[in-house]
Amino acid sequence: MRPLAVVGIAAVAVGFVAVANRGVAAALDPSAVVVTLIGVLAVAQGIRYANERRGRDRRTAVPGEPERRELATVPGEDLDERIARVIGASRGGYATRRELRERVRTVAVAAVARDRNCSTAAAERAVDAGDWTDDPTAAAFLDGDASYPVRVRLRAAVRGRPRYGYGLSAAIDAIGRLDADAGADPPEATQ
Amino acid sequence: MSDGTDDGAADDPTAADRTTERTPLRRSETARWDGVAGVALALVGVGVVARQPGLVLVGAVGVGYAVYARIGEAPEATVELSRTVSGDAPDPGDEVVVTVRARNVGDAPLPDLRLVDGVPPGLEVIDGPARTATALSPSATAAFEYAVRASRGEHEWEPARAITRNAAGSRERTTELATPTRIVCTPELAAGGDLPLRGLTTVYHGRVPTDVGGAGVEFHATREYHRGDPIKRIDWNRRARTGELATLELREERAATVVLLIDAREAAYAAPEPDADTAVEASVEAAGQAFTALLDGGDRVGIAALSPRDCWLPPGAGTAHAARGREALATDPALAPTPSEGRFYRSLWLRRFRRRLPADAQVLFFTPLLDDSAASLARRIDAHGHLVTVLSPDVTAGDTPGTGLVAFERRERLRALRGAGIRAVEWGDRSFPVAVAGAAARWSR
Amino acid sequence: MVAVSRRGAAAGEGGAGDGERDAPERDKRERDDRPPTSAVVAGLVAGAVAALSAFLAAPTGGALVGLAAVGFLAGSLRRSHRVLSWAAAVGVVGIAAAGYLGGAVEPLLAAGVALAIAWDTADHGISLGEQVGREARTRRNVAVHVGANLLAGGISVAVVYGAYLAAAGNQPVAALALLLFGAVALASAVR
Repeated sequence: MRPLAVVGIAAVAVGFVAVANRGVAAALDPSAVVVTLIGVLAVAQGIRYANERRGRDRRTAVPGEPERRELATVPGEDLDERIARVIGASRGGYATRRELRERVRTVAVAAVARDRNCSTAAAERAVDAGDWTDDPTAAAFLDGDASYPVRVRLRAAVRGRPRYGYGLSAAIDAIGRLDADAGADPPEATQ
Repeated sequence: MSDGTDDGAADDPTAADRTTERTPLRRSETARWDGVAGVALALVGVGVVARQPGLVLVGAVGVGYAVYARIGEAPEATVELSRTVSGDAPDPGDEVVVTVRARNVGDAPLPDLRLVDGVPPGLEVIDGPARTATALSPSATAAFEYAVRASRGEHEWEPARAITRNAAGSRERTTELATPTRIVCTPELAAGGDLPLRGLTTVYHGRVPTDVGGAGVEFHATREYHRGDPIKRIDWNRRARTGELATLELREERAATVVLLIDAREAAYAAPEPDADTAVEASVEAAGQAFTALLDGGDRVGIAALSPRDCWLPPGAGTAHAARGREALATDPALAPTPSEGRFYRSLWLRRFRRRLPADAQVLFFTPLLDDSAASLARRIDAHGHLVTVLSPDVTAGDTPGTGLVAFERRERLRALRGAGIRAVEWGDRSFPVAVAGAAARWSR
Repeated sequence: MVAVSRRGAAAGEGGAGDGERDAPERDKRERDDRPPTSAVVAGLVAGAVAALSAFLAAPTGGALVGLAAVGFLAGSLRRSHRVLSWAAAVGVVGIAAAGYLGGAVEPLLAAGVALAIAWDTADHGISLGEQVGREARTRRNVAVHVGANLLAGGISVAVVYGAYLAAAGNQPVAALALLLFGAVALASAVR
């Protein structure tokens, strides 16, 4: 690096002298080939330097959006993100899968117990046996032994997605139907 | 082509004595001129190879730009910021126009100044961006304005951001400019109320209906008129029918003590859509209605918040107390429109709450019931001998699997509370009075 | 009714505040982060000047610079610094071509400065759009920025063109070659 800088300074200095003094210029007069070579060198180096621009990131301030009201959290949105992550990968996310399945099961048992007016234990048996809903996909989601309908398996295979996602949505929908049957604000509230 | 810039002559005199606190944040190279030297070199090279003086000269001009990009630091934002609002105590929904004036108090010009105002997180800008980009010579002033829609709460402006660049724009610097401004928006608590909270507050204890006739609201019997009976209680119907004077005996009631407890933990700042009003807003609005209705009914009402910050208005009655309650609901930091900082310690909070709660007080607990913690809290207060009524704004969306699951779980929590003998009402989308009327009708059966 | 004041009182104020829920078109509003119109227009004008000057120097070069001007417009609309950089590269190649084909000195210099201004203004406009937005007041800022660039380019041209006239065509090639070689060496050394 250092010698190169010395060479550069020397060349520039002599160049300036040559501009002022024709005698020096005449004595140094390089051949046309050398001049062209220097030009080519300049072009090559110049393009190299200019090309370094491509790798640089811009670092500018991002002032954000103070004009907007601070956004509220939507209850369950975090769950949707986790579900998307679990569904996005064909494997993995077992802890999330298990947790979600358990939560869905709890809600399903409560909904079935209310819908059939039976004990929690009976509702649990119904959910485990898969006969709590007409939807085989929803039933398969909470029943370890049952298998998903061919239609769902096919669709999951085509899309390369786990069946879990289909089962989860179907189960939530099934619970929603049970809940809707029971009415939004049941008279039991009279207690 | 007016650009809102003048030369400081028309400066607001009241703004001049305010000082702006400046905090430098970051400096960076924007890298926007990177490579210009290489381009210049290449052009000169091509010129030399081709023996064309024109290209050599263009390349030399390129060197000039490379130098231009290197000269000058991004100047410090030597700006005095003043902010005026069209009203500092607006009503909810009012449009508040904010005018920001920036004056260059430094000796150097600011060739590239971008200002982004620190609009309070609880306010929404409804007209114009709260920003400007300008250039200020020394002691010049630039102004811009925007409008926000006022909403409940005390809103403090955050520091504005000033981004300055040197003339070429190759270097950048960010500075925070803090100028205190605040608006306080206190919703009116309308007088009088037919919110049927009587059904809520009479069943177990609290305002107990007695069999003693006297002053009250409910008809008990009529008796002969005595001199000095209040004119309001004369039975004018009978007077019209028979011409004789009789006095209405009303059922005497004992005033109840009610504490309105509002869930304002971070989890309660939730809404069915990201930019909709949160459950805290719904709770505070409903609590305001309950507050007036109960006070009007002669009860003693207090306010508390489930929040990392302390909030406690002891139960009381009277006009002064009504004003205090209105103030607390509007501006108490614990009920701010955005979540309070800090961790919430449930057992600590519960201990303090129980110490403060009068022995005969009942609790109206406003909570979106988005976690088990809120439900178990209701049970613990109930177990401690206070009548608890859970009033739950429904802020679940339920249109995706995740939000649907959360909605079912919340519904189960409500049912579990009811199963445990705790009265619970839910309402969605500002139908609080309707929901309470429905519930009260059920309970009084 | 009871304390419906929050909404009720607001609704009385000329309907300005019928509650956030009743004004979805306002809730959904996003800041317009496109570049300010003034910057886009100034960039277009400078690009046209550059193309015209280069065309006067050599039509082939002019066509390339015109392409660059279109690229600047596209970059502004797409808010892409990268597109602008590529367009600038095309413009530089156009000027190099015009010069290589023997374009006159004066239009080449004009094209060079105009190209620099066109790129600079477009790029500046994008950063203004990101940080401030199109709806804010930015005209003065853009004008000062363009003016500063014009000043820098003007001074450079004055110095360079003055030296060229002073040398009056009989500049010693030796001096130029040495100066260029020194510049290349120094640039390599400094890096």
